[in-house]
Amino acid sequence: MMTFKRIISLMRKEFRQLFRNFALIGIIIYAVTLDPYTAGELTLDLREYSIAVADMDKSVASAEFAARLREPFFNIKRRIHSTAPMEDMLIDGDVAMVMVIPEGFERNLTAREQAPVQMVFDGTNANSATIALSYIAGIAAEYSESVMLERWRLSPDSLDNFPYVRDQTRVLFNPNLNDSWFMVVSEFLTALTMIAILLPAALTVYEKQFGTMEQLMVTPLRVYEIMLAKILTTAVVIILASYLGIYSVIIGAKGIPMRGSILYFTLVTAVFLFASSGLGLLIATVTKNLSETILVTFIVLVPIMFLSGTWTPPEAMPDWMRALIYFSPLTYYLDISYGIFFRGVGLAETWIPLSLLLGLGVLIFTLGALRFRKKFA
Amino acid sequence: MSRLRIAAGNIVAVAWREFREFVSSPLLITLSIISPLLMFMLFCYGFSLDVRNMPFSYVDFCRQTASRQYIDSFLASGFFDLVGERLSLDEVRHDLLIDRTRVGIVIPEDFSRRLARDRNAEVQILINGTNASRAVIVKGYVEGMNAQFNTNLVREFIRKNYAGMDAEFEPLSLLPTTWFNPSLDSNNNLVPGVLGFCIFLFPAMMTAIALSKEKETGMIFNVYTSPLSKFQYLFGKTLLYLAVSMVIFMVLFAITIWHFGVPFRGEFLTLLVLTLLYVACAAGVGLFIAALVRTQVAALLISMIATFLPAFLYSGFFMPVESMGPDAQIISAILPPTYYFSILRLSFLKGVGWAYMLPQTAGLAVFAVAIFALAMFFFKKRIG
Repeated sequence: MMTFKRIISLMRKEFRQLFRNFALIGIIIYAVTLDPYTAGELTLDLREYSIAVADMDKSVASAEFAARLREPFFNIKRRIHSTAPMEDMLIDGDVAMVMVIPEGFERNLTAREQAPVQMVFDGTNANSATIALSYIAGIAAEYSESVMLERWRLSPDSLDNFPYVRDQTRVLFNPNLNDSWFMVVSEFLTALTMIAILLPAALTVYEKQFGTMEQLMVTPLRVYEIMLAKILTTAVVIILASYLGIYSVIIGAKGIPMRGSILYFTLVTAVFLFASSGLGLLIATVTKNLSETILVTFIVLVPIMFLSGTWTPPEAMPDWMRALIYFSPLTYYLDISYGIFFRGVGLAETWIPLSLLLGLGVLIFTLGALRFRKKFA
Repeated sequence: MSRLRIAAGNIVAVAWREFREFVSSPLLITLSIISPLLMFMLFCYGFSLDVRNMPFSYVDFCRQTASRQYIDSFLASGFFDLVGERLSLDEVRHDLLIDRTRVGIVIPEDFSRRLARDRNAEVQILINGTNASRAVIVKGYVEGMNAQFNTNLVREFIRKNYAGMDAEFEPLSLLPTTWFNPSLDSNNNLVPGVLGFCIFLFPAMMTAIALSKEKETGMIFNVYTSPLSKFQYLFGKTLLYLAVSMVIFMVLFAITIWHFGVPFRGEFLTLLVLTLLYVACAAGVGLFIAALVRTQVAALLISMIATFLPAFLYSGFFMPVESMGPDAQIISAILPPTYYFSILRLSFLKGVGWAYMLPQTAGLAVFAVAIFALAMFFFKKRIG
């Protein structure tokens, strides 16, 4: 009972200290609201891929083909009449690709000859170039199909009497393929994670740096009480911040349907915070001042964020990295969180990753607490 | 002349003091060199936007040659990784629900029968839309696979039923060539990009911490009472971190060239000068943040959130700037990494010099001057 009271008073001290720091509160609010909001404008999909078309044929067929490179995927930014300006345009980055339709394009098609189309890509952004090429290959295949049908004197409807596989593609969980959904939520979770790992470490080392830790030590307070108060304070701040982000930006401004239960999300966040504060404690025991803390935190945080599959899905990683991600608590946290936000999963579907997260948390926390005691008690 | 000498002396003195403090912390030295290096290696090895090995599962209610061929075409493409064959639609959906797979294929019972009777057959393809950008790409691949399967079916059919028709013929032929990076090796873009990313974060964070530490511990009062001008103090403090960052740059540059084999075709000296300008922008961001806030914790969190995510997301490293929305494009036009990434691409892959980099240089210079001026302005206010 005494312990409980002491922790409560310590938490009041922590809260007072924290809320006096307007800049800190400001950046936390920014990180969970405005930051995810603008991230919603980012996309990994092909958008406005800028191209220049050199149509040397100037025929109906060539114009029709070029017109198939449509918005929002492509943006025909320049129309040129010779290939002379091509080099400068590509070096300047004015356009990312130049398409040359040679003279005789239409004639070739009607004469049943093969009609070549040249494309010169700026390969510096290899990723977009690859995606753009695959889009154009699809467009060309479709165009070829229509030319072939015409040549065979078949109407497009006659395909119904062909052996032909119709793919009924359905995108689950985000049927309109609204790209900003994922970016907003992933940015929100990333920001939350950064705060969750940094804040406990910073609060602990803070006290150490100013020698106020010694002052706390000579009071009748126990080490674990001081520690718990810091951790609980961080947890309350982060959970409140997460509600702010969810209600104001995710559900509010962006209108993303939150399919799962917010209560379950809170539970998962709490379990994750358990692991991340253990990590914070661990870091605080090895560093002397804040500059060191930030560097150690960075060394720990970056691999953790990186290995969580936020930026690179596990299947695109090298095998050794794929094995490592199972040791990162963030992997499980993000896994379950995306599930809650987009697929509406609950405890029934995610009890395995949740218990793994809890296990990792217990392990890290015990380690952190043991070291903390040794160092300060 | 002598006033200039005194000013230079003051700056050197501040820089020397900062240097002494830096070398007295072995952990700090090790970490400020090792953490950028570690981050660099991790990103270069593990970061990939390639869509490959996509996990999928399927249920085949037909179980005939044609349906097996259809599944085989997915397996053979190399883009998809089979998680397992399922016995019901629910199992396929469950795989998607728990994120075990990205694609689920459902082949109906009449698939082979309909194709054999020269009729259309339907296949249901379910895509996990959690990450929409990837889902779009996956959808493209799936439709491509399906189109290829159909082309073969139609050709076969034409050959059988319409003798004398040129079933093998392809009217359009695409002749793609790629400049600057002919093999479309994504490392050639990624590795220099990560380099630029790393040498933006660390100078900013180090200067933010260095300045806010003095403010918070009250050591700054020694500076207030000294004859140092604000400029001398801020500049002297920054010098060390500029030097450290340039060392890191050299190390990462060497790894980029020799370890990752990225070709460097441009002018090294030009790149070196522009890198110094870029690193100065980063250090200025750190000073500005530290001038604004009172505590180290705040300076630390702000500098991390203000540099890490924007440099990563808005700079064109991750996705082309033209693909972004209007607000994001404004952010990207302000950020130094946007200009620096363009300089890196021009230097490494396009192999052009100074003459092509004037707008980028101007962008960096304007930012550097502005951010230092802002830092000085706000720093001064605090003294008064």
